[in-house]
Amino acid sequence: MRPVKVLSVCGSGTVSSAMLSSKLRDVLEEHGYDIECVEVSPGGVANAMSTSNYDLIAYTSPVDGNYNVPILNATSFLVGINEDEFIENLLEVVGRLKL
Amino acid sequence: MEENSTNFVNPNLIVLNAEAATAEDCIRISSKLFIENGYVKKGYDQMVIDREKEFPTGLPGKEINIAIPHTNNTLVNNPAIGVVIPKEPVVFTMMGSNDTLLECSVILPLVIKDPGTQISILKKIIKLIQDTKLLKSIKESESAEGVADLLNNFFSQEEKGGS
Repeated sequence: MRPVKVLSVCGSGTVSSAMLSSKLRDVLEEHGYDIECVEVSPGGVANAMSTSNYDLIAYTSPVDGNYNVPILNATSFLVGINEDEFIENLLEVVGRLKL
Repeated sequence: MEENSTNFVNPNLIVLNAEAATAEDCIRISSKLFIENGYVKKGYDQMVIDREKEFPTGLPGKEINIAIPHTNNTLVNNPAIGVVIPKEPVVFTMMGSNDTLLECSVILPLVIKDPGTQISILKKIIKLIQDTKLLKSIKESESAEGVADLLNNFFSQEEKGGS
C-alpha cells in the first residue's frame, strides 16, 4: 500500500502546517495508513498541485481554486475542536483512495 | 538552544498584566523583547503584524482562546517562545478565517527558526491549547518565572504512550 499524499497548507507554509502534518500523521498511522505530507503556503498550492499528485489538501489558511481533490478545513482539528467529525471525514476521503 | 531543553522558555520574554488593547499591541510588546534579547533582528515586529492581518493566528480553546503570532525565519537568530497575558482579553481573528473573531487571553508569540527541528515543541503547543487547566494556571500566574516553570515542565514532559 502506498502512502497517502497530503498537501498541508498554512499562512507561512511552515508553522501551523507542520503542526497539522504531525497531527494528520498521528491519526492516519493510528488507522493503519502511511502518510507523506508536504507543507506549503496558500501561494504555493498551485505549483505543488501541478508538479506532484496529492490525494488531498488540508488547510488552516483558505485555499482558492479547484484541484479535483478533496480540500479539508483543518483549523478546528488542529486545536482539538470537533476532532471526531474531521477524522470521520478524513477517513472517508482516504478510504475512497486506491492505495 | 536545544528545543527539548528544560529551560526553553525564557522568563525575560514573558509579560504579565500587559497593557495591550489589540493584537498589534501584543505583537509589538513581545517583538520588542525578542529584539532586545537578540532572538530576532529589527523589523521582526512589523513582519509579524503584517502577516497576522493576512494569516491570523487566533486559536479557539475550550474556555481560553489563545493566539500564536509568528512569521517565517527571515529575521530570526534563535528560536523562542514568548508569553503575553493582556490585562483584558484581546481580539484576534481565528486562524483559517477572515471574520471569526476570538477574545484571546493567553498570547504565545512563536519565534520559529526551523519547524522541522521544532516539531516536538509545536506538537506540545497543540496539546497546550486543549489543556484548559494549564492555560488557567498560566493566565493566573503572578510571576514570569512561574509561567516559565509551568511551560518548561509541560514542554519537557515525555510523550505518553502512542498518541
